This record gives sequence, C-alpha cells and structure tokens, in this order.
Amino acid sequence: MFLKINHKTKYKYEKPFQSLTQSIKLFPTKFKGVKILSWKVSVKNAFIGEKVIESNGDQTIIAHTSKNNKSSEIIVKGEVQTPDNNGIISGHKEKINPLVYLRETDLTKSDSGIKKFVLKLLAKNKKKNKLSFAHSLNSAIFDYIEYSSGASEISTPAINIFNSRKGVCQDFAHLMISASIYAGIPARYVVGYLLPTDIDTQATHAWVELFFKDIGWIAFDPSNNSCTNERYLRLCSGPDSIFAAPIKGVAIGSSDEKLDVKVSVQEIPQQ
Amino acid sequence: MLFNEMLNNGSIRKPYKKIDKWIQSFKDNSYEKKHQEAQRIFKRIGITFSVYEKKSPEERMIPFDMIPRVFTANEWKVIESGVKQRTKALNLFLHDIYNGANIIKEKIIPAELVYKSRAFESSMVGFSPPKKIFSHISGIDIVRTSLNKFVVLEDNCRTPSGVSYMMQNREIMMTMFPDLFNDNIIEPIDDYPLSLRKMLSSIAPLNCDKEPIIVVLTPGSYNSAYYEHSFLADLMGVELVEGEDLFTEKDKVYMRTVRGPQKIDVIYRRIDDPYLDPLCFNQDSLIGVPGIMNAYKNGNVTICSAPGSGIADDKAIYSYVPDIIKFYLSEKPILENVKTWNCSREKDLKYVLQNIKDLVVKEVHGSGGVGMLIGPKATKNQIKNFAKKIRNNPEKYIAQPTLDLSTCPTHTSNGLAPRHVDLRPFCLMGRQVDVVKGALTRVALKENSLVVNSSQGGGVKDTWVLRK
Repeated sequence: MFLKINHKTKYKYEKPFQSLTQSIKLFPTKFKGVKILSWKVSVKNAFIGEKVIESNGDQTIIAHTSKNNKSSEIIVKGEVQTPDNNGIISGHKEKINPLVYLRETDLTKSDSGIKKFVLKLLAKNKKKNKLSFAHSLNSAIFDYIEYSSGASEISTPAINIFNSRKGVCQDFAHLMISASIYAGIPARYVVGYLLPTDIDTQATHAWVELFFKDIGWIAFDPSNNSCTNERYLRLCSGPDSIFAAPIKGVAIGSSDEKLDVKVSVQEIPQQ
Repeated sequence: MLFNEMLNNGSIRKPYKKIDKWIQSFKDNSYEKKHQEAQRIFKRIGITFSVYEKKSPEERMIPFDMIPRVFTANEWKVIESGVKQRTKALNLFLHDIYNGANIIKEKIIPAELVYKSRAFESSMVGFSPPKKIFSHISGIDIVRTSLNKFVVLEDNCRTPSGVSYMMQNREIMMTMFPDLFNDNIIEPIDDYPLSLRKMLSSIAPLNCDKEPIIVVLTPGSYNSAYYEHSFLADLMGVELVEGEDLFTEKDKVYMRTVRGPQKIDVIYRRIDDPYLDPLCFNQDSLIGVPGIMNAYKNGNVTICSAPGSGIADDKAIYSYVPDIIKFYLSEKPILENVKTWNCSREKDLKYVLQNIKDLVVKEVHGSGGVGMLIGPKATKNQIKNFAKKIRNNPEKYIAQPTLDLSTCPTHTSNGLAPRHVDLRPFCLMGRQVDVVKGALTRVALKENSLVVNSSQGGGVKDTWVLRK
C-alpha cells in the first residue's frame, strides 16, 4: 500500500524562550517491504544537527530553535510504500540484544493483578507456545480495556490502566508490554502512523512489538486486536511511551506550552 | 586472627617504625590537642560530605585520623599492578559488551545478567568511544586480610569520589607535621590533578586538533561530593560548570562565557547517567544538557566516564571479574575477589538463607553501605526481615562472608586503639594507565565495626607509599 503522510506539530509558548532543544525521531523505519519514496522533516527557525542512527535503529536529529521565538513547528511530509507483513518485522537493522526488553520501567511494572491476568491466560494456552499466547494476550487486552480518550494521562502506568480498564492506544500498549515481560517475552513500545478505517485520525498511533526466538520481532496492536499490516507505518520504539516519544523538547526560559497536532494519513490510489 | 598493620606478633612492623617514633614523641595530652587542631583545619577548608537521608541532606564532616596508613614499595607494587590489570580488563569488557559481546557469546557471562541489569545502557550499543575507553577513572576498593593478602571488595567504574580527601589528608599532615616528610621517603601524590588533566586531554574527540577544552560537570552545590568537584576543577585549571552553563548547537557542546560561546571537547561529568541528557534519559532532569548524547555520538565531545560504564561495577558482575581478566588478558588475577553468592542463582540463594547470620548481604544496585545486612552484627528480627526481602527479590542481592579486615591504630576517646580500614586506590586510563602512589584509606571509627563508608560514620587517614 502507498501511504501519504502530512504531520504538523506546533508548540506555542506564553513568552519567547531563551532556547529550545528538541530530539526528533520522525523517520520511517526501514525493514523488509518498506520503500520510502519521499520523506522530509523540517523545523521552522531551527538549526538541525546530523542524523544519528540509534542502537535500536531509530533515527534521531536534534533541532535548536533560535531564541526569542514563541513557537516551534515540526512538519513531516512523505510518501512510503508499506508491506502486508502480518506484523513480522524482518531486515530491520538494530544492535540491541532483545533481552534488554525484559526490563520493566515505571510505566510497565506489573502487580499481582496483572500477574494473575497473565497466569490465567497461560493456563488456557493449550498450544504452550509463546506466539499463540501473544495472540491470545492481544485479544484479551482488547476485550479487557475500553477505548476511552481522556480517561488516562501521558504517563499513566500499566497498573493503573489494569485497574481502571479505560484508556487509549498508549495504555493498551503499556499493559501488553507489562504482561508480556511477566510472561518472559521481550516487549517494546512502538510509535508510528496508522491509516484509519474511519475518517477521523488525530495523532500518531502506538502499538507493541514482541520478540520470539525463532521468528524475531512481531508487531501487535492491542487497541485494534490485530497484528500490524500495510496500514501501519513504523517510526521509532523504546521500552515505554516516554523512551519512545518521537518528539522530546527542553525549553529554557518559558513555560506553559500549548500543543497543536495535525496528522493526515492517506492512501495513494495506484492505477 | 585480625591483621594489625602496625603491630605484628608484638613488635612494630618495619614500615611503621617512623610512625611509632613519632607517636612516642607526643607528650601528655599534646596528641589530643593536635587531633582537635586537625579537625578544625578540615572544617576550615570546608571539606564536608552530605549524607542523603530521608529528611533534609545533612552536611557532615569526615573525621580525620592523624595516624597514617603505610605501604612498602613492594606491597604497593602488588596493589598497583592488580588495580591496573582490573581497570584494563573492565574497560575491555565494557567495550566488548557494547560492541559484539564476545564474552557472552563464549558463555563466560550469562546474557541475562548483563542485559537485564539497569546499569547496561542500551543506547550505547554499537558505540565506540575515543581510545575505546569507557571507564577512565576507577576506584578499586581493597581490604587487607593478612600480611600478604589483598582482596578486592568492589570496583567503582563510574565516577568514584574520594580523591580530594586523599589529597587533603596529605596536605594537612604536611602542614601540621612537616618534619615527617623531610627525609623524602614517601611518594608524593600532588601530581594527581595534572595526571587527571593529561588523561582527559588524551581522550579528546578525534576531530579535535588543538589543545582540548575540558570542563568538570557537577550536579550543583547540594551534591554530596560538590567539594570534590570544585577542588578538582580548580587544581586542574579548568571550569566547573552546571548543566545550565552548557548548551548544544548542531551537535556541538558549548559553554556560555562572558566572551561568548566556547566549544567544549571533554566533559568530566560527575552526574549520573540518567540525568545527563533529558532528551535521552530522564526527561525531567534539570541538571543535564539537552542534546549532549547526539553531540557525543557524532564524535564532537567526549564524556568521561562513558554512559553505561556502571555495568562493569555492578555487584552481580563483580563475581565474574576474575573470568573477565582471564578472558581478555589471558592473565591470572593479581588481586583476589571475595567469595560471592549471587542470590539470583537458586543454589546460592539457598546457601545465603541458611547461613545469613554469618554473611554480609548487599543490594546489587546499592552503594555507600546503605541497604546492607551484616549477619554477625544483626538482631534476630533484622535477619528475619532481611531474609524476607531477599526471598521476594533474590536477583537484587548478593552475599559475601564477613572478612577479617586489617586494623590500624586510630584515635579514640580512650586513646589509640586498633580500628578496621579499607583502601581505595585511584586509576586513570587514557593514553596510558596510571595508578596514583597513594590512596584513600577509610577507617571504621566504632569499635569492631566493619563499615568504613563515610555516610555510616567512617573516617579517613593519610596513606603513604614508601619509596624503595
């Protein structure tokens, strides 16, 4: 499928800042079947450093917006061909041993509730293989959590989501990571774009990847009860949403930032 | 039998003869007076150490003990070569686990032990710092258990502190008792700041073609070792900066000065990994420098020590250091390790729980003597509670036998008495590997106490290495 992306992120501040430094990871991941036709990231009024290829394959640039500005605007435009891969990520260049992704973070810690949830599923998993467990976990989380925006915050831990049973894609992802780690499956948080099935797309999307010894990384989307497919465009990853954030910024000398995000993901029709 | 470093089999050991004579020369209560004077000098110089407790950080003086700790040239040769060997091996280990991890492929060290440790910094994987060195400054904690036996308690590969005490202890002794140093038989240590500076210059980025600009990066004046940060910057003749004094632009790091931005080449940072770069690690860090990691990875600045160095001094890795030395250097370890049980291994856990009252149990990620149990000194209740903690999180604990730490004569309220001591020599690794001919000796001031940490009421002593 050919996807066309238009993504604008605008930060507005109350008063001009002395300096604004941002790390930006808004670049498509290269793996088997992904073909980048065009891609451009621009930041208004900013110096941009050299791109760094991170150990996990993410591509990062640092942007410095010159002082006395009151806003920053990051614009991403591009066209990418995506594969129908059933979630299988192959040929992605990364250097980190997957065992690293068995470490919990503050957002993916599990408690007795999550552990019981996992143990119950493991007991039901007759095939006794990790992949079939992962699929049933994906569905179980989809069923267990009600999709509801405004019910959670930017850094609500998986434990709270498990108790409130409400959240957005980020929360589904954290709970899935927490449960997978407890089940001994390395898991990570992924940020990217999703071509919506209905009209209203609002922001970037988040899902998870789980590592299986004989296959490699497989991407699941627990908020849609599926594996990823050609409607997904992967950008960057990390142990949780904070590490994986595609834009991070430190503004000195100003506060009260207001965020305005516009994302458009469209299919480019092919003759 | 405890080894008394001054008195052995009832007679004064040869290296301590001079000190014995000196102690005998004090009349009546003049020793006590000098002792008080020494404490006053320490206070006046402003050497304090703050202890993090649940309440507000408290500034404390480290008690200074006047009776020096002495090593012969031959004894020092063993310590020095042992410390160098360890530092070299640990640096080869660090470079390897972040670049290829042969030691794991060869099954010398279990993969999980490295990769599941918080000290393993995954963003450093695939990165090779200048001269392939990660840990440029190490402090190896050593105890002496008999005349010829030195044992390593732990390695400190991140930013070990204490070197300023080593220097100030000497300074005070030389000021108060210049005659002791007249005959020139004690190795000097005052060249340490110069050696540190030379080492830092030698690890400048490859693209730095002039005399490198060095800074010491401190978390600020509330940090327990702030005194040391300013002391070292001052003696090296470089700027002491806080995060807000630095900024990055186009992947270069600059210091704000009255004459405009000054590009920085080498940063001796005394802030911990998670706070270095809010764009990479802890995003709430106010003491770091946003963008510094990209500047580092693009080869425009060197960070000393490299992020992720802490995996080499992880207490769970410690028990593998002899294997690490054999693997990379094909040498026999010069300094021994203490027998260590990793509670993450089921067999070890069982042993530890059965013998807990004879063991010292430490947290894998703990430091400064906090969160440890000394079995023989603990009450039944303390043991019961600690055993529960171990059972709940076995991978968080290691255990070691209690050691017969050597003693040195030390000032007490009842005159001089033997007190337990340890030793922290400092090793610099840049173009070359150097161990300063002196060290920090910490002394447990409470009778029979084995805890020498300054945060737990330990004191310090001047440490002499005698010339041949």
